[in-house]
Amino acid sequence: MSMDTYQVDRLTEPPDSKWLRLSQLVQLSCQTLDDEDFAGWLSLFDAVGRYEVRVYSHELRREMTWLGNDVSEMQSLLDALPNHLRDPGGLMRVASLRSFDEGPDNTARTRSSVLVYKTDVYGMTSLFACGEYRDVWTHSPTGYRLRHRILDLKTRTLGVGSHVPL
Amino acid sequence: MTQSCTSTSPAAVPKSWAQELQQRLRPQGLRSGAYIDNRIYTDATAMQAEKAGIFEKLWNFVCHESELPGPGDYRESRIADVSILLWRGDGGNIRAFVNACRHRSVKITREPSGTIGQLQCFYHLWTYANSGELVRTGVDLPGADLTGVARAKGYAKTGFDKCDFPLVELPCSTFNGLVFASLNPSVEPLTEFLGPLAEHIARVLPPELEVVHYHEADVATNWKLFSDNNREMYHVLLHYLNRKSAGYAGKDKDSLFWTLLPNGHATFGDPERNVTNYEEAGYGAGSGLTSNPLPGVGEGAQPLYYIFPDVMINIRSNVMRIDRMVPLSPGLTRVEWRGLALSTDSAEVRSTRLSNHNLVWGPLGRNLPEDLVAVEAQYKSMASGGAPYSVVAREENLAAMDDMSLREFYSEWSRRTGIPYDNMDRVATGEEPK
Repeated sequence: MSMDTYQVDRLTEPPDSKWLRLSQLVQLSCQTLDDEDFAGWLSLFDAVGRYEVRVYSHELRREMTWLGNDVSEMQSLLDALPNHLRDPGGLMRVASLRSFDEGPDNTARTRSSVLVYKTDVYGMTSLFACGEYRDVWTHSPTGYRLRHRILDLKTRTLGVGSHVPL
Repeated sequence: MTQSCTSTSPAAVPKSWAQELQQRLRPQGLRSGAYIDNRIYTDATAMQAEKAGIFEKLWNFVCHESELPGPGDYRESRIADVSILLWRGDGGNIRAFVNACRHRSVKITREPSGTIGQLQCFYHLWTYANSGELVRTGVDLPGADLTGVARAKGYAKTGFDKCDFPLVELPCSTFNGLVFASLNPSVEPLTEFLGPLAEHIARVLPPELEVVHYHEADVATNWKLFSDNNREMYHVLLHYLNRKSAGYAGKDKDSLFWTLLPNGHATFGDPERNVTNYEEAGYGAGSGLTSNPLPGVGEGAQPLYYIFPDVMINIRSNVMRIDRMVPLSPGLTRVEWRGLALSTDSAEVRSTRLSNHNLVWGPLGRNLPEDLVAVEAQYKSMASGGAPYSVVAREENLAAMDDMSLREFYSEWSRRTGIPYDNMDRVATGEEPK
């Protein structure tokens, strides 16, 4: 890979306002999920937004989708959460924006590394998953909204799993 | 004069609280076999017995044929403690081998799957054909200049012959796409082991099935507790909270019955009768949960098939899930979940099936995480010794909530391990639960 791939020249410039804004939104997407503020999390998506969790299976040698829903389907899943028996621990997502590209039609693409930590009710913390958010954003007068979030998971064993999106 | 540290006889060791509780709480009124001695889940001796008497003796489902579709494709798996390798040969047959180099025992594959004509051990380069034959040792490697370091005939003086060192081959057999292997060189034919179950599962295993979803997890529980979760139905009504108000069966409850078969196998439900009402059960309308049912399965049907000891084939109308388990220790189980669809699916139908699979059975879905939370909590209590018995006493003429399915499973387990499942103290007598 060339150094251009990693946008090395950008490192010498002060981060622009779009980078900062998108970085804040990535952080907000983590915070809303950590706080289980699902209405807040869904409000980061635009009306046709989509959330997907993908993983490459070394067993099947193909990419798999472990969850793939539009905003209304995510809403339905999250509405049912209070009825589920859940792992009583909590999750904390730690994300860091790594790259930003502006695309056509007021779109932007970002890639952020993400680590998800799980803390049980007795205070024991462990790493639950790691991966990368690959986000497509649309820009409107109200600001950036998520058109498509793909969580590309590296971790393929999630223990008991999770009812809450990662 | 110094006192000997070994003067205390074993008989003088006081009974632990858990041992006392085991005696005090032994169910008095319940008949033998209507309860389980929970030590069969936590005791290392029980695990040793089931490895030797069950997992090492019987056929084990290891993968689906679609996971190694072409010549040279291999798939790593495991039976009991042994890493094994399924490898499709040039003629199309799948063979099973112990996944260890015959030279110095290194595990020969380094990926869960792959395609390769010959496998070469990365350590000293012994190379095997997909027939298992040892093709060459490291020093025979073409082009390797070992002049002055190794002599071509270095093995000659000790009687070494490559023909004597193929990969260790294991019995391997397939049934309608399901690949089984065994560590037992004299294992019975697979069709005999499956018995009448073969006819049941043949109806729902068309040749165009393929694995499209796979995930696994090391679950902090005993393998039998997840097997129990798969084999009892009352958790379906009582545990999945989102279904509590609506119930499991919206339509044809009479078809929800157990069929218990020889060798510990079983089936539940009828593949042609509609038993589900997902909308009432809170799964949302119009999500394609029953459309495009799999061949041999009616719209809305949910038949289940159990292959002793650890496999469940669970079909929800248009998706199929196959579970298998590898016990790692009494309190740790590797569970493999496969989602299957049809190779002939259009992109749209495939997407619907995957979405349906993920909604209920994916690692981020609705039901599976609930099951795993429950069986982990169960094991924790049992391992503490504070919960010495489980009750499996319901009798309902093989209707959904009859515990007969569990009792039959454990009768077979006892027969294979020599351990009465309701009283581990009776191991020495060989007495079986009545």
